[in-house]
Amino acid sequence: MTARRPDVADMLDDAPGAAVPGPDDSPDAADQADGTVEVIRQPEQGQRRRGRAVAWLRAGARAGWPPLLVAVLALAVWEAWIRIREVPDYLAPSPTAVADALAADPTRFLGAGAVSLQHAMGGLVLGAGGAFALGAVMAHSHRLERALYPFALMVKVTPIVAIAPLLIIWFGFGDAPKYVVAGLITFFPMLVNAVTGLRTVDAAAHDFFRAMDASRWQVFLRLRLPASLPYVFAALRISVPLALIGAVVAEWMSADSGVGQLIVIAHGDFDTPALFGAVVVLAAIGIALTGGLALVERRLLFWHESVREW
Amino acid sequence: MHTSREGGRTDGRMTTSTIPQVPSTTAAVAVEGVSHEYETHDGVLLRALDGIDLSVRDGEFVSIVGPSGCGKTTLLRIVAGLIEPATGRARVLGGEPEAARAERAFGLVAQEPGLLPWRTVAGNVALSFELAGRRADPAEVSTLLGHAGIERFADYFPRELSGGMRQRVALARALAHGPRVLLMDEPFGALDEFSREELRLELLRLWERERPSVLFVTHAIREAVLLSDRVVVLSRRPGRVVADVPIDLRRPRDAGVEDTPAFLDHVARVRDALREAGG
Repeated sequence: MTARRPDVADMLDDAPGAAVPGPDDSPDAADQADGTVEVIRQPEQGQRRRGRAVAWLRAGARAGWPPLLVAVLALAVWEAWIRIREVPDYLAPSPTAVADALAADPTRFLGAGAVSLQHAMGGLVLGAGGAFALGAVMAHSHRLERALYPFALMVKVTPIVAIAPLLIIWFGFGDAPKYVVAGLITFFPMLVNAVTGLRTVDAAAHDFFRAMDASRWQVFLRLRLPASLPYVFAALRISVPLALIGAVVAEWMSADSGVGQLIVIAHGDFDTPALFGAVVVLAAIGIALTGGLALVERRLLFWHESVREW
Repeated sequence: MHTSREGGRTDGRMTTSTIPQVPSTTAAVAVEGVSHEYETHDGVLLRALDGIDLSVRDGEFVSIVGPSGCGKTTLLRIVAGLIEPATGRARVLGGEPEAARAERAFGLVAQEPGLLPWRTVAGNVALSFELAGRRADPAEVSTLLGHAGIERFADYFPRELSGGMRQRVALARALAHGPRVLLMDEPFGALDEFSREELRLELLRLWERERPSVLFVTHAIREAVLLSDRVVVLSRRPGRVVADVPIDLRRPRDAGVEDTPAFLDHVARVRDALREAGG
């Protein structure tokens, strides 16, 4: 967001001594006082939008090419190794063999990926959403926090693989156990971060709200909720990949749908290229989700230090 | 109503005295026998305030000065109803602080501006209207920003502003809903000297518009004298009122007043009181 007016923003930045009349190159405080800071450049409305889009693309290209280069190199080495050593496909397929497997039946992989994505997202909404709601309650009462925290911790420390079969017994072979497993695995990171985030409010701002007789709901909506967002996003960065893991583990155990089922079948068939194909699909979903999350985070947290470009 | 202050004595013959207590029903703020203590992390019980009596008349500007740790901030928070005193009570506009809060009678400015970093300058000022339960009219907000000299920065975010500008926003936000009692806790304490000078005069200018009653906590003697009708001096912990110095300087005041003998005389008087108090 600062990129909108970098020139003025830099001038007004809270550098020590910025408001003291001093060296010629710094605007003096008297100028700021009557609001007549010298504007060096003012972007036009349309130009501003276009400028931002171009900046985004540039930033994307700049951030994108190093990992792309590494990927290309790694794939080349991998391919060369398999060909030179003549490693059989069922032990380790070459990248081209994996690509062939994916291209042979793309709907199979895409369909399974879509189902797993749905399971992961459903679980995330259930788990992280529920955790945030519970966190909001716990953030308002230390007594409730103390009462509930041990049970939240129990969910956390129980290996999900240990209770997944139980969940399948309880919920059967539908979508439900997938949502529940993905939900359970995303629950704890969000709970801890939500409680911390909702409590970490600026004391001076909170005093102002109280002096204005703000209701709890106003404090929650206008102060606590926005203030918690950096923590919520930190939790999501952990929870989103976890949700995918949870969903696939549940699918793998019941072997009836999604990428988890794909893995079970490919494994049974010694179809190692398809096994790798499943991994590629999962990796692609994971990267897309994480990337999308980062975009949303940058948009929503423009005001926070964590996304500031130094 | 305020003409009585005009042409006040400047001959330096006033004595340090306690202003006669105004009945609490007519005072904007009345602090009656307030004592307070708090417990430190290692279980020591410290007395912060000891039998404070204090009143601010309607439209009066009263400063509280005292050595650091004398409980100035605690006193202000008690007046705002943010904490309950151990003994005694605070009355605001003739009622409980909570009632005054419910009427949105308070404007609060602390040392930290406490702005919402995700809201623009205009958005931060609009917050006062929202919390008071009405829609913020953009024209109204922009008029307020104009009064505070920050109209130009309406669409900026707090982090894009200097410390002095942020405090101007905090001031505009505190005054937005037309509070009758302005509570200020070392509002310029974290600023550089230049911004501080400027904001003092800005505050005077803004205060003259509506003349709310002000309780102003500071440790800067000159600041207290420049701004106030009365300076209340607190002693070292536990805070007790040791002097109540009326400031009979002509209003409206500007920077020039600081060079007059009468001003320096008042400063000396407050300083002496502080010295006696062990500050």
